[in-house]
Amino acid sequence: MKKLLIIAIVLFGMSPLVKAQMLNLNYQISVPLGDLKDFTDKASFRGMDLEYHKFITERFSMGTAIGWNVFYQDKNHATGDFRFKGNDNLYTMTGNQYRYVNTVPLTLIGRYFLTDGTSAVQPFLGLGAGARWTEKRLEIGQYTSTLSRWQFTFAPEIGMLVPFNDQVALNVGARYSYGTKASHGRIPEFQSFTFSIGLVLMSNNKTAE
Amino acid sequence: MKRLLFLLLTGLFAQLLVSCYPEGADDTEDYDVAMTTYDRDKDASYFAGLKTFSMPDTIVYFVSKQDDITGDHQFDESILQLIEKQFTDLGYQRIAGSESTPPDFVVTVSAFANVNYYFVNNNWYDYWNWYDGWYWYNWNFGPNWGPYYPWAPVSILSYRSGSIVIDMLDPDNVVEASNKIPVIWSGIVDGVIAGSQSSILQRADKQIKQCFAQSPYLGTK
Repeated sequence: MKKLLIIAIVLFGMSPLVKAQMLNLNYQISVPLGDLKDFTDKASFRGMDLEYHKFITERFSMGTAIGWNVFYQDKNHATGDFRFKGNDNLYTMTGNQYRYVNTVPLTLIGRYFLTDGTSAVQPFLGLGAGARWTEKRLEIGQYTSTLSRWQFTFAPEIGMLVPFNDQVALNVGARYSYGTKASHGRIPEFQSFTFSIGLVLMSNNKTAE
Repeated sequence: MKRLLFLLLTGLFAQLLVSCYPEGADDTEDYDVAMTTYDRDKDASYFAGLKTFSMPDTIVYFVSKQDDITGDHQFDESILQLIEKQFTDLGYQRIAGSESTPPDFVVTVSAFANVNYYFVNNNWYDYWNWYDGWYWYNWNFGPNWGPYYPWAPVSILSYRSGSIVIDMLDPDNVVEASNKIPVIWSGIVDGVIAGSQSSILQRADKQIKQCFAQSPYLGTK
């Protein structure tokens, strides 16, 4: 985390040297869907991502993002059938279940802006693709099962920038994320709707490109 | 100013994201687990075919070191009564048992108070040899005899802190060649031994009932 922060500050410090770029830190709320919802059906209020975008043309930007979202659910008293490592037998276990999904998406994002950089509100459409590292964890009593895998992921998004001035803007966005299932479905297909709100630091010389 | 803003924002996120595993267990009771399993070759009709059972009137405490024995048998009576009631409620009849009238199955109740300890790896015979029941059947009970779990290996299970294990054994169908008494059902109550004695008993009570509640295939009907 510290390293990220240093990189972010360095990147931002260098921003006057490189034109037309954005550094964006978002707070995220995610609503799980599909198989993910079956495992942890509560909305996640623990999420963030850090994004860096660079304008290729006036309307089109390419960027990269790293995020972190935590889904969890206290299932209270629940019964389920479980296997232990090295043992094919099913055990029926009843106890307090705590379920967690930690996911770290790493994506490349292309964005098309519907307006130019002078508008008060700058809506955009984007598509991200990449990989996400997902860890699924289940605790019952003193027993724990943890499994983590990489998933391919893509994430279409819509959003808008609301500039406060030449260098700072508000980012508001919504993103649908899909991740392929991994480890024969033991890491479920990942699906979520993620809402982002955050600050964008810009070097706003798009027209110079 | 912008850097300050950035730092502030980062600090805020750090507060929001203190942990990968938020919440989780708070009380010892949150760690209580009721686990059951059974011989998957059997089904409800098999369990319905069983009528009588016998049960030693002591809980055997398995401990790795003699001086680690925490069980002073003060809970035995109430726990055994509770377990007996679960089986009789299912329609099974507890009998004293004898050579001429051996029961259909034997229920043993064991307690563990240690991590990574399991009687399959130890001398089960030494703990249970006092029980007359083994001699009612037409096989020669002796050292090296032990329970046989069809769902083996079970040694990967490490009973934590405190466990009560209820086994339904089928001494009518032992494997003489390997000195094994088949186990047809196991109920395991697993938890942390902490708190007052009455609260431990209360928690054990609840989890023992749960073991039977989650095994709908048991019973004479």
